[in-house]
Amino acid sequence: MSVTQTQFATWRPSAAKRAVACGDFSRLCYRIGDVSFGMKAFDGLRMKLDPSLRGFAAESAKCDVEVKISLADKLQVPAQEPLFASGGLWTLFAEDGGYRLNFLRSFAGEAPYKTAWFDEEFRRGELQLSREFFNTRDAVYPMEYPLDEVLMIHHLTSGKGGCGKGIEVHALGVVDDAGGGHLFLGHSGAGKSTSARLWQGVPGVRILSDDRIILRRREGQLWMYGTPWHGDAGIASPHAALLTNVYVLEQAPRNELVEMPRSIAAAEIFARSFVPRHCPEALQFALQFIEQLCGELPCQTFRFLPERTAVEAIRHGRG
Amino acid sequence: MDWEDKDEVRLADEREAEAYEAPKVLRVSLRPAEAVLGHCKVTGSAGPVSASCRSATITCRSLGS
Repeated sequence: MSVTQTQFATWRPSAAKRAVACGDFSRLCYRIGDVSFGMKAFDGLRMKLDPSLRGFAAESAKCDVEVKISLADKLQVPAQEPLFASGGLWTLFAEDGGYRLNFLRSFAGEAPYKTAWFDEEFRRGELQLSREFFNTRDAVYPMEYPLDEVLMIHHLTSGKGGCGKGIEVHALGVVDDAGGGHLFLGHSGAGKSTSARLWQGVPGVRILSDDRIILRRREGQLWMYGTPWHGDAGIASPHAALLTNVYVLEQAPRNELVEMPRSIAAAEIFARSFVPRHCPEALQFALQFIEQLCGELPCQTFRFLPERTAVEAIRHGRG
Repeated sequence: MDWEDKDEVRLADEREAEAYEAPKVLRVSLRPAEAVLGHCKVTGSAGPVSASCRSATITCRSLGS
């Protein structure tokens, strides 16, 4: 099926970039990957969106994910063993039928600068910001990285009965002038942002993100969505497009497209996906999602030269 | 059916079955710190750009992926 520019997702972000004050709380919403997030801040907290999120601003009285935000005195690390430790910025605990996410800097013995509790489907949550680090004077984006992205990957894959909504992948998303939706997967340094710059300025081309793409199935078809979590090229689009081709990027002395067997493609995509690895149901959902994707769409290794000929190789489907 | 007939049936079944292919071990590159969103990648504008990593109050020392 050919894709045209008109088949981009039809919703448009509103101009709601500032928090709306409603009595004793303020509210701010955004939408990524067709999932809406609503923040309600109390205790006089002032909110703002990160600049990269402004194109994703939305207005809604009731969002898919709702988070209440407040200030708290010194936050504590739970006494029990964590379910999962990222080895860096965040740690996950089981608590009250849901999950607690703690966020710490890498200073030994320091208390969390924020903590959030979410229900088992990551639909409702309460976020507390430590008064040691936050105040009511300076406007903040309470969901700052990595919380917004960690929340997204959990929400996408945590539907009841192993029924998730989609997955987030480490990829560049490009829609070419003929409507082809190209997903270029790669770890850091693989050439996603470099490739994005090569595509920039090509007439009729739209880039959804140069670092993070959300994949979802809509009416039986696979769609890719831009995200605010951009890479070096700084490209973050709130639009979506039908996905038609999948590539794993590999820098090489010449351009070459090599077909990948389905099993290898699934492994390569999984290695470049952001899935809650502590959760068996989420992993199972992600693996099934990826397996189906590999059965429906052409998956290739794209060995490429970081120059304009790489764009032509994709547009003409040849190596 | 005598023994000879049974052998022919067995050989015909084997011809129809797919040839056995031994499983292969495939090594796939995985970047654990990237995969779990464990680190910021903020030098200039690289990666998910976070206020926490640029803010004067919350200085992140967790540069990585």
